[in-house]
Amino acid sequence: MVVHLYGVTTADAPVPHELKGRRDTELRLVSDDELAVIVSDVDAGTPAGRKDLLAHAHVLEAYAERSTVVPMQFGIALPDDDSVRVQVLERDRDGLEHLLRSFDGLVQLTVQAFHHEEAALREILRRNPRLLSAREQMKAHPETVTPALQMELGQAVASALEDLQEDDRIMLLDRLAPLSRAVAENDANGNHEIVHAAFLVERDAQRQFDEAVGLLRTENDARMRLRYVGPQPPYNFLEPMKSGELSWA
Amino acid sequence: MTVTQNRAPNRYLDRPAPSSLADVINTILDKGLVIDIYIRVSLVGIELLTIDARIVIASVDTYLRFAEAVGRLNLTETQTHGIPELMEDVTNSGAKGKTSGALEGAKDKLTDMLSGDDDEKDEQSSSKQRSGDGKQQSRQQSKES
Repeated sequence: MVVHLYGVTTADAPVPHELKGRRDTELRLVSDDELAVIVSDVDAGTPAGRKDLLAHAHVLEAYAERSTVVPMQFGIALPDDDSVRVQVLERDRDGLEHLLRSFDGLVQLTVQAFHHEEAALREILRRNPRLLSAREQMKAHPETVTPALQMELGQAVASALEDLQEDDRIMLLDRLAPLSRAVAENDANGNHEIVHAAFLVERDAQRQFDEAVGLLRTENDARMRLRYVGPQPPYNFLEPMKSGELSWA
Repeated sequence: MTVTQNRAPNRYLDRPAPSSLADVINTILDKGLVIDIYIRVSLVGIELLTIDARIVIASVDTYLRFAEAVGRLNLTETQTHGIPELMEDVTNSGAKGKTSGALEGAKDKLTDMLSGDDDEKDEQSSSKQRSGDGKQQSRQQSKES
């Protein structure tokens, strides 16, 4: 057996009801007066798969709903509780306490938006008379269309799509960022992704954020698809907080 | 007197969902606290997902696909205005083409229309174009080998 580490929370954090760890293992806290490490005992040899990844994330999310939790990266185990105390709690107590204090009362909410391709294409044709005329010209005179022209049109379409993505990215961030303490963007992955941003939001203000996301979804339904994930522990804000880029506690 | 829910924005209330596997793999997996010495839990069966189609927008295939997609669009349903005035635009400026061989004219015009964008935009997109070229090269190489 090894001790799988999920994250660090305060010693007084309530244990979420009926929550299980990887492979349905019982969750335990290895704690001292101030801090607690969320752990479960897992067979040493068992390699982790998709379910284990999800279990790790969902344990942390369940805690994040009510308590401040600093997530551990997935895949870290220690031989026993004593090493958990030494390696995690005693190694950098000040650092951990600073993180827990800084993120107190805050959750991460992640919003990802994608354009519906057809709607986005219609929109760029509406916005770019040149593109529209080029398209009509090519439709009217298909015999003049060479692969090079096709490429050129495609490139112009791609470029117009990027402009549209940028406009919509700014629109979404302008609406949501004011409701958050900090914003961190993940790298875009193509595939018509407009934005993928993590927002650090006060737990008490999550309802307003929920409403803002709901309103954005309703307003932009025809053109984009929104994914809304959370509440999560402050994954995207750990490094900025450790490095001092973010600071308020 | 009846008590009613009077918070109008409620109908837009959206609740966030738990992380999906893609969320974990793409955005969470590399984040979180690490310690110095530990037992690494080995991860299996995830590799396939991490190379999940990360389609880069600047690739030859994508350009050609976009060109087809934009050509296929049926604009008559929604575009009630716009086309007539734009077509007028095309015919006005394409007048030269009409007199000197319609086909050549159309071709010139098209190239003009597409490449006649402002210069700074071209600058901006040059790096993307390079990466597109790179793609093409690597594709060709893999064909040869």
